[in-house]
Amino acid sequence: MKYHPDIELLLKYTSGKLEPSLALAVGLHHKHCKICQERVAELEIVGGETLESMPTVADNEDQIVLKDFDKLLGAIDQIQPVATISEYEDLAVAESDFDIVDKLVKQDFDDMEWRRVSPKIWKSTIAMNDADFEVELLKFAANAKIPQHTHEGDEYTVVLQGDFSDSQGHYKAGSFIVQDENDEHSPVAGENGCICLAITNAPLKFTGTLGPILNWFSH
Amino acid sequence: MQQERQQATNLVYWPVSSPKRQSVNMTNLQTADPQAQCWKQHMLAVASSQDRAAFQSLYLHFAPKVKSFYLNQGMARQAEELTHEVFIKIWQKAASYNSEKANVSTWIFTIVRNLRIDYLRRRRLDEVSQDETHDVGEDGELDLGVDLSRKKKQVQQVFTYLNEEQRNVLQKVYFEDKSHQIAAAELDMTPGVVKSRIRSALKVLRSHLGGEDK
Repeated sequence: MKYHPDIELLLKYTSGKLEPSLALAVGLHHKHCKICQERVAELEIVGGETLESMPTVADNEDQIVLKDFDKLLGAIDQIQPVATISEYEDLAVAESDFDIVDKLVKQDFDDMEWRRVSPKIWKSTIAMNDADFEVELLKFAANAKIPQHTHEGDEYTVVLQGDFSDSQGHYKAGSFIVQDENDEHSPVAGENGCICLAITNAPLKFTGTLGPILNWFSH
Repeated sequence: MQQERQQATNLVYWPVSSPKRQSVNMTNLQTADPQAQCWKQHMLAVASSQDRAAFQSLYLHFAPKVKSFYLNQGMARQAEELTHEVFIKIWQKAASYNSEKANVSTWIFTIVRNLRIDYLRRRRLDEVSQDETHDVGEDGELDLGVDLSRKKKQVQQVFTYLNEEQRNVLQKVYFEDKSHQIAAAELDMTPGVVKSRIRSALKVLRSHLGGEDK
C-alpha cells in the first residue's frame, strides 16, 4: 500500500486525540496497513513511557490504594473472568464504533441506503454524531469519472473496495488520502468501480461545467 | 528556582540515548529493561493463573500513574472511575497481552487511551450537538497533579533520533494533552519555541518513519 496518514495524524490517532470520524478513517487504514501497524506500535511505546513517567503514589497514600484494590477485587469477583476480545481492540477507536468499523471492514454495504447523485455515483451517509465532520460512503460505477471538484476544508478518503486514479496517483483498497481546498482533481474509478469512505469538514464543491447541478444534487 | 526547575526537567524527563540509531528492534530493546521484564512476569502470572498477588503489585505500581494520567488530561472527575475500569480490563484481557509485542506499560497505555476515547465518545453522544468543549478546559486543576521531577527512564528506542527538547514537547503536547502555553511554561520555553520544536520533531519523524509516500 502506498498512501498512509501523515505522522502527525498518526500521533493524534495513537494518543486518542482525533475526532470520532477521523479516528474511524485512520482506524480503517490501521486495520489494513502493516506499515502503519508498526508505526502506531512505535508511537504507543511513547504513550507507555508517558504513563510510566507519571508520579507514583506517596508513601502515606499506600493504604488508600490498597483500599481501592480491595474494592477492585470485590468487583472482579462479580464479573466474567475473561472478556471476549474484539478483532478491533488494537484500534484507537471507540468501542461503540466497532460495529460500523466491522461493517466497513467486512464490506457489508448492501443494506446501506444509497442515494443516487449522478448516473454513476451513489452516496450513503453514515451517522457518526460527530458535529465536526460529515461521513459518507461514495460508490462509483466502473470507470466512472468523478466531476472535477475542490474541497472547502479538508477531505479524508479511505478506499474500501475497488480503486480509483487521479493525476496524482492510483489508489487501491486501504489507501488513505487527504486533500485540501487547493487540490482540484477529477478522479476516475477503476474497472470494478470503487467504494470510498469520505470524511469532510465541509461539503465538496463541484467546479466543472456540470458543477452547479451536481452541487444541487449532492446536498 | 527557575534554574532548578529547568534542570529537573532536562535531566530526567526523557531518557538520554545514543544519537546513533541502530536497527529499530523494539523487542530486544524493550526486554533490556529489568523492571519492564518484571512487570511482564507479573502480567503473565495474571494471565496464566489469575495470580492476585501479581495483580496487586501491578495495581500498586500502575494505578496511581493511570489516575495521574487521567487527571493530567482534564478528567479530574472521572479519573478514579476510569482507573477502576482500566484494571477490570487488565484482569479480563490479561490473556491477550503479548509480551513479545509490547511492554506492560505500553499495553496498559492502550487500554487507558481506549477507555478515554470510549468515555469521550459516550459523552459526545449524550450531548448531541451541545457545546462540547467544556470539560476539556479543566486544565488548571489537573496540572497540580503533575510532578516535575520525573523518574529516570531506560533507554528508549522509538524516538532516539529526536533530541531531548523535541521529545519533551511531543510527549507533553500529544500524550499529556497540554496546550502549547502550558507545555511552554513547564519547559521554560516560549509558545513559539514549542511550536517550532513540534515542527522540527515531526519533520525528523517523517523522514525516519516515513509519513509520506515513497
